[in-house]
Amino acid sequence: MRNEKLTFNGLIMALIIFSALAFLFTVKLTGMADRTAINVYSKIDGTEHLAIRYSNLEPDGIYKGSENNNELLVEGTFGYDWGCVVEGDYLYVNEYRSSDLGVLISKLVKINLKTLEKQTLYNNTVLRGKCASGELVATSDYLLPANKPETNRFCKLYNLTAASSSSEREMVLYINPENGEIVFSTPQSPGIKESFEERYLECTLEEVTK
Amino acid sequence: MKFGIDSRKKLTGASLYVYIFQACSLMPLLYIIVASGYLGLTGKNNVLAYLFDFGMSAIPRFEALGLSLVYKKALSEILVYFLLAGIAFAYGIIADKLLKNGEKTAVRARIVFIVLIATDIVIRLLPFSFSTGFGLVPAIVGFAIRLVCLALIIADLIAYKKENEKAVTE
Repeated sequence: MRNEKLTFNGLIMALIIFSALAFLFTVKLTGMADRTAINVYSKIDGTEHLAIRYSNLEPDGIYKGSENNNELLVEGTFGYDWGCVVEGDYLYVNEYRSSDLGVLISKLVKINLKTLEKQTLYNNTVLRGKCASGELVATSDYLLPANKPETNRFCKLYNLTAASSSSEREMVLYINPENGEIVFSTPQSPGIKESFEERYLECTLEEVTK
Repeated sequence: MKFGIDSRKKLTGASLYVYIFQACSLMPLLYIIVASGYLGLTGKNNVLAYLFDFGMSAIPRFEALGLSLVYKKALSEILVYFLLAGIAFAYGIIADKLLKNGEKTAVRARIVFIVLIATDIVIRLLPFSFSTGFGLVPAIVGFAIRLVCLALIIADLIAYKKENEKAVTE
């Protein structure tokens, strides 16, 4: 029988194997990091028979029909809560991606309601609504408040490649709803979350650019 | 502890540096594995969270930035976990081979370590926000750890040079 010392490298190898098993049980098999099924049905203003929901029971997405009798049109975890705008045949909405352990990242997508084609407009961006003059108002480089960047280490790691705090890089974007292009962006300024509606949503683009 | 370059010696400054590197890489893993079973941990400041900060601040900045990029792309903490552990493991194996593979290779390996650590220290002094991404205190501790590692390896080379000079005069 060989008498070998357990070196630090061997210890790390053992750690890798045991932690693979631990992750398999906690994250994969028991689904500890999965969100709770809440089944939210939301009617999208300006459209008919369309709903967005968050669920563990059926795929998240945009459905046609009623709560009990519906048909999945576009799959994806869409957010109706932070801002959702229908402009002609297009639906502008936030789509959320979740990390293994629950950090939520948002991107702004444009969905053609006729062809049901989904197009990503801007990553790490949250649509906040429409301003008084009709442009879409979104915030770039934005981490959702639930992620608590001040205390959540994963958010710190996520932001490491950029500024130390995401709020320092945030910009308010004004987007033309017809083509999805940015028509104006505010300079980077910390603290733009404060009185957001008053400062950006209730004003016209002209008032903001003054 | 005796410094110098001798493949027979069990612990030189360079091998101690490799252990320090591996230990720092393991620190953030505790936080990730506990968070996988208890998600409430991610919203709190506690010992494991501080260990995460210190570990991430002590590993090479390029490694931390690379992990951040991978995390941004894959959105997987588990992938970050295994990458961190895998890098620590691979680094240990490669460094072990180099340090025990004859005097010339061991000297070259130490010079490479010195260049890498010195570059890392310079990066930490540049006013980039990622240098203090996990807070000022972990950043200072991370800087001090790299400095100690640099001193350990330089001590190895100085001891080796002295031994050589002694052998020549004898």
